[in-house]
Amino acid sequence: MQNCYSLFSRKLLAIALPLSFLMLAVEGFAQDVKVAGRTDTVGSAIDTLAKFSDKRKISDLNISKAIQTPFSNVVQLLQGNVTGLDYRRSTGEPGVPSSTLIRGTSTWFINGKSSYYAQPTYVIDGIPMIVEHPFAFDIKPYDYERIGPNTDISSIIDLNDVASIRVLKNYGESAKYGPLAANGVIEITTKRPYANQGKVLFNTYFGLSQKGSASTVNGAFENDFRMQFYNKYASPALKANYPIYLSDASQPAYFGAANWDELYYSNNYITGNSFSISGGKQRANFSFGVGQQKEAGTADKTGLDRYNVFLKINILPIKDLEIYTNLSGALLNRKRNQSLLSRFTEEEYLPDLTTPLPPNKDQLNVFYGNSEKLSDVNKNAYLQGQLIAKYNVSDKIQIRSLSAMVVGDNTREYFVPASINEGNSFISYYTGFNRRVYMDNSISYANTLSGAHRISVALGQTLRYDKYKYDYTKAYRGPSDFIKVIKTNGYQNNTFDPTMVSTYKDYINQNMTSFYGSIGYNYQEKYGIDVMLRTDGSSTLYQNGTSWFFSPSANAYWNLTKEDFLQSSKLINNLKLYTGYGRIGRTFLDNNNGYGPGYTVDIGWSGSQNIPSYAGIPTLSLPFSKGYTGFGVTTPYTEQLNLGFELSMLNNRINANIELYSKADKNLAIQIPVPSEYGFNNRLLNGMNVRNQGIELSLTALLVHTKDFQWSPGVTIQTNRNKLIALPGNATSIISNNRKITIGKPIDNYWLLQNEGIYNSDAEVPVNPGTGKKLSYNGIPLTAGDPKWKDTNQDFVIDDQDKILKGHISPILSGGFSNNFSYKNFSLNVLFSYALGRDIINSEMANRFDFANREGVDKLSGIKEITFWSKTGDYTKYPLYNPWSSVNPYQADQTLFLENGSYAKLRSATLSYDLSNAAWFKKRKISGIRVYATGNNLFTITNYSGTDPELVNYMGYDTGYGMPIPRTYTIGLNLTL
Amino acid sequence: MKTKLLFIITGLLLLCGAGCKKALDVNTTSLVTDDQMWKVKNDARSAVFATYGLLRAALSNENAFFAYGELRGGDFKVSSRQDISAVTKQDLNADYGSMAEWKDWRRFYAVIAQANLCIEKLPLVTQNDFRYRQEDLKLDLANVRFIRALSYFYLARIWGKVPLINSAAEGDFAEKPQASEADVLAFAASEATAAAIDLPWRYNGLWPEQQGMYYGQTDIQLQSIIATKAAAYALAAHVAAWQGDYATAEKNCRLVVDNNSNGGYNTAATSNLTSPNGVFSGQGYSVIFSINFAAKNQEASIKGHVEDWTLSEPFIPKKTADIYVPKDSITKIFNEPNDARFSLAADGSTVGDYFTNFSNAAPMFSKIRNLSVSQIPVFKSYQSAIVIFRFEEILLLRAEAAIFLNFRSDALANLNKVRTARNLSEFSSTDNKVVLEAIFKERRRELLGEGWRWYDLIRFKRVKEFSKLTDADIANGATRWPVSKVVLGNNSKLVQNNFWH
Repeated sequence: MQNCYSLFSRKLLAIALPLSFLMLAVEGFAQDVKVAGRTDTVGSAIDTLAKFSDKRKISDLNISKAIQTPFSNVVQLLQGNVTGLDYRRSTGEPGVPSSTLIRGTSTWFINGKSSYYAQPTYVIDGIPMIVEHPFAFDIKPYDYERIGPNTDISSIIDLNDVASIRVLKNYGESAKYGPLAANGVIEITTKRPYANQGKVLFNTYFGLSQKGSASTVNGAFENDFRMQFYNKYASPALKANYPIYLSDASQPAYFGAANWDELYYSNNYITGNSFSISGGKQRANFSFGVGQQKEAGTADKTGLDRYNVFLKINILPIKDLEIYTNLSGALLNRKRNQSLLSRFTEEEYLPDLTTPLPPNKDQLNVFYGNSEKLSDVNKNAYLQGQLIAKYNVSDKIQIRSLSAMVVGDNTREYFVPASINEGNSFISYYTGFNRRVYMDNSISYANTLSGAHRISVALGQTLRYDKYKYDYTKAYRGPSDFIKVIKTNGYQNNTFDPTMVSTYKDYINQNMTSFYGSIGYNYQEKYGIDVMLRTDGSSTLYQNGTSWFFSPSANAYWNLTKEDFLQSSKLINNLKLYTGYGRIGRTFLDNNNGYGPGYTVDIGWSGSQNIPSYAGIPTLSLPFSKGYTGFGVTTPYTEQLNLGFELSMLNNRINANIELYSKADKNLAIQIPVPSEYGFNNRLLNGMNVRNQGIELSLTALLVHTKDFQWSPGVTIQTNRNKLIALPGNATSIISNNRKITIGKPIDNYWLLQNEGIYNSDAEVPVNPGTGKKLSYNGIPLTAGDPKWKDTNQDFVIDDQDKILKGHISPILSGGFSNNFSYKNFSLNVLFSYALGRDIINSEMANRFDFANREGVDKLSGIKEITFWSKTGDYTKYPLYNPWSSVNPYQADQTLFLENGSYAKLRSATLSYDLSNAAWFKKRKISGIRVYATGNNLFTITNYSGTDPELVNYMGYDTGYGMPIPRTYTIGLNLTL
Repeated sequence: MKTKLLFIITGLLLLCGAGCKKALDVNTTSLVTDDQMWKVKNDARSAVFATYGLLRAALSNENAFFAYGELRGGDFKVSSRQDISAVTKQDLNADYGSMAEWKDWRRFYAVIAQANLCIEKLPLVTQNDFRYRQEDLKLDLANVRFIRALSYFYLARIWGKVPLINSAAEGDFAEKPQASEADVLAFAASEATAAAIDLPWRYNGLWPEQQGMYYGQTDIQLQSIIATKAAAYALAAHVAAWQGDYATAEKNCRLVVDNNSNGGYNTAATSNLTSPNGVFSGQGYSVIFSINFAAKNQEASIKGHVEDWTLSEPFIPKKTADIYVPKDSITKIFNEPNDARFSLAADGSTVGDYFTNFSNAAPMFSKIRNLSVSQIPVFKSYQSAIVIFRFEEILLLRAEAAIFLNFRSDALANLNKVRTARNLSEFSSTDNKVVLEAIFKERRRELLGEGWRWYDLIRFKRVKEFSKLTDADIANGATRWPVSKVVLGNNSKLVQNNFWH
């Protein structure tokens, strides 16, 4: 609904401003004017602060060292190096989306969509990346994975082209991105072209991903394990129903050699190559590059291939005008895991699960042979184009205009042949398109008065147009395993029966307009203050117009080193105190919250949620299962206050940075339970407040500094304390999906029953002296073989009121420990990262012991992957309860399965040798050449009994679905000409 | 300098003009707002059929209809599923996800809320769209009131004491206390009778209550799927029977049976009963009201049908069904010879399609098997309907009411209508108690697996014989279901059932 005026002004802005620059450029070329130097002298207030922040090691990353470690994901690189990050990954498989929390989170993780609300924004050269939108979860009954290729978009970044990565945690620095900065910003700046030099950069590496050892077991092991329970507790009826595949010890499929790991795990090669060339003169220069990276997982033939290309052109057509264009593209091709859970949740169909995959290689070959016809193509294409023009109107005033378009195109083509799917083939086709148009224009003024006072003022506006859309088609029962095309026009020549085909499409448009102004002042670079005021209007809350949100932010610093008492200090080289405050609004991800109550299609039931019609007639009802949203929903926001200081001592041999922060998320909207008698489960209300507070410390010291040998260790420590301050309405706690949050407690606690052992006989079960009844679990009396759970409130009933909040998903203390050694031309960098004070629920073991409720049932819990036939964890930790008891003795949410997940990992060790000084290379004008060898993820120190303490899902469960993070060994070469 | 100036001005102008508010006016694509709804006749159609759709969801979620009506009655035994097994053992406090869903009444209240919404808002459509006449409004209101009455009837039979909510909420979620079961039943009865007045016998346009075409659908398309006069009378009869008011029950049954030519109802042949295209396709001359899941409308589903639990090989690739009727129960239930539904011949062969593979340890209950696709390979999507009322059941209810009113010949006549349709000999006795027992037994045979058994046990006061509950338990409320803890937690005015506390 945009009228002519806005369309006109949009087009005008997009075209006219840069066009006017270009006109000047053409004019300039014609005049052959002498070109002045780079126009960075007149910086805006924001840029001043940026320059200042560059020196703060707490947020920056040394890229030249970083590209020697073959990580494909930016955050994996930052782990342990940069404070403030909590990186949660559920698997070592490359390309799977992960969760990055910057300075804690205010999101309550209770379903698959939750993590989308907590992610930081990745900004590449000032353009925020556009990522997948969670609205595709609405059409699927299971939220295990998002439909589509579901590949981590941040994997497209080619680290070889990156000049610096900064994590913007303080709102004073990131306020320029508006509401996109609410969860923090990871700001990536790529290399600008080099003028007058002509540089060629070539980086290559080659390596091996080493598979871990899997201790495999076959039916004999499982038989022995289950017999303990059958002998102790099973009735004859249950014994008669013993699973058939475990009863015949002579058949080779289940009792033969358990060598399935030879097919499933493998060592794989990884490679990476990148080439870039830049050149030109001062007045016009360019850089062009291509890159490729192949990352491979060690299980189930998973992998991720990435291809990049970029072209950057920088021209100074006339004096004072600089135009920079950057066009870059990336293609991701992911080979996904073919787990049964992934397949069945995509198909929304469960075949008969009573006979699991056999652990024997020969029997499996029959299955995998047919799997050759399975096709799963996952592609992401990402294109970004931007134009930045800067014009110095005078030596004090600069105008800057940025226009960019970012496009993501994601497809998945998935076909499951009938031969491995109980005779019914399945096909699904997903195509998604995300597009962002981003424009930012600003004018700034900077002046130095009396040589001491520097004032800078800037004014600007931003426009952002986002469009997300997808088309998803799925069909069952194709005619043959060789026909993978859905054709259902009319009733002739169809390849699929039309009643077996479902098509979904959806799109969301979200736009934002912002205006901002900033004022900065510093006195001799001793004291400085910057204030930015901005207002953002978002289209997502449309109530009688738009919902504008006002965000102020400020930064101040005091450079004590410039003070008289420290000027001449020999001990202290640099001491800066800084503080900042910012308030940023949070935009909703969906568009439905600003309209008050409405009607939608919501007549489904579990297992069939998308049936939209009754007797073929379309329906519209209140959104009963989704929740009620009334009028008056307002913008949630976050306020942060931070204080820090930077210290360098002893000739810059010791560098320390300490920062304290307090972040308060206010007015968050959350689904609050309402009485069920109105048909709704919940309603959306504003009013949740969460506070995150913490300290971040980073310290590096150059301990040994001789002519040939240097040793500089460093440590980063960060803490985060999370607390729920308020809930909407009068609620003091909310329960959802077996999790509870209570005011005064963190939002990442587990909610558990406390185990105290086992009742070996009925007599041991306590009796309520008042009523004479035995201790019961939700009304079911406990008997021999049931767990001893603590009756916290002493009411002789074990129920939700006896569950306690315990444990944390996020670590209490985490960080990294690095050591850098250099001897002549050799250098060795070793990085450990550690996380302490976090807990994991080992639901993989809980599920193994809960076999009675899972064996062959027609639900997702009945799925047995091929990895079922491996021995993980510590079986002796758990008592032998009666698995058939109705009290559900092996439920995952009890302290029995809560384990400490603290760990320290050797993330990377790189040994490199710099050959640049060798005469042979110097003669050939090779300015830099280094060879290196790196090992990643070499070992883990942990007490956790499962496979890897780092691999948990968003709710803190170790489900066993995480593929192990492989050890990789690579050798590589960095060449600069 | 001139160009510089020109350029600065352009820049500044654009700076101001670009932030156009219209760019922020983006409509939602997944919600129809309140001001856009209730404008045209199709809005009324969407809202009314949404009420049917929500009723379907409430009854098919985790096979709720079957779980409430059949499992506790003890006719079915469970082979593997622990949660279903807990229900058959009256162990309703057991901790299972599906158990929590069965104890949660939210879905029934969603039907009621949507019905309340329709009652309040449908008159708006008559004001906004001339094509939606007063007659259309009357008919739609009757439909919606019938569904609401049916929902309250289920709530009362399953939970007993439930809150009575008769008006749309409008965002005010006040906690309401439970009303007594009697009040709820009285409301259901009055609503059913009121709805019956405005509902036609059939939707063929020949009845004063419904002229022309109902939303463009023909009589055949709508047969048995939506509310009719007979359905409303059937509901009124059942409410009355539950209340113990057999006079009203008999009257309402008589209205259905004696007017069966109006609705075109008759007893179905036994082959039709067990055929995939027969009674349980949901549409037919013996079905008074059913919930529809036709595959041709893409409303068939994998979950929510009884076949999911009862079928196994050769019909679907599953070794053993989740639930089955054990052999000795079958022979006890079907103890009369020549029963066309199922009978055991002298030589050991079986007749009838109620059960298949009788020789197996767990015979398969194959009475209801309505797969969406009939060709191999088997695709486990089912389109069987949930039959709420059918003609044979009303005949048996009439017989039951008659016997309580001492009209023995009437009772025997109606009982024998069903018996002869199933190839059984006619029954006769001079003892009312014996006749009642025969009716009770006949209900068990005819309606096996259709969600009646547990309610029959309660109504006939025979719960003690067929379950482990004692008189004391029953007096304490054991025959009703407990309320789920989520529902209790959401409304502080609710009180858990005494027995399940």
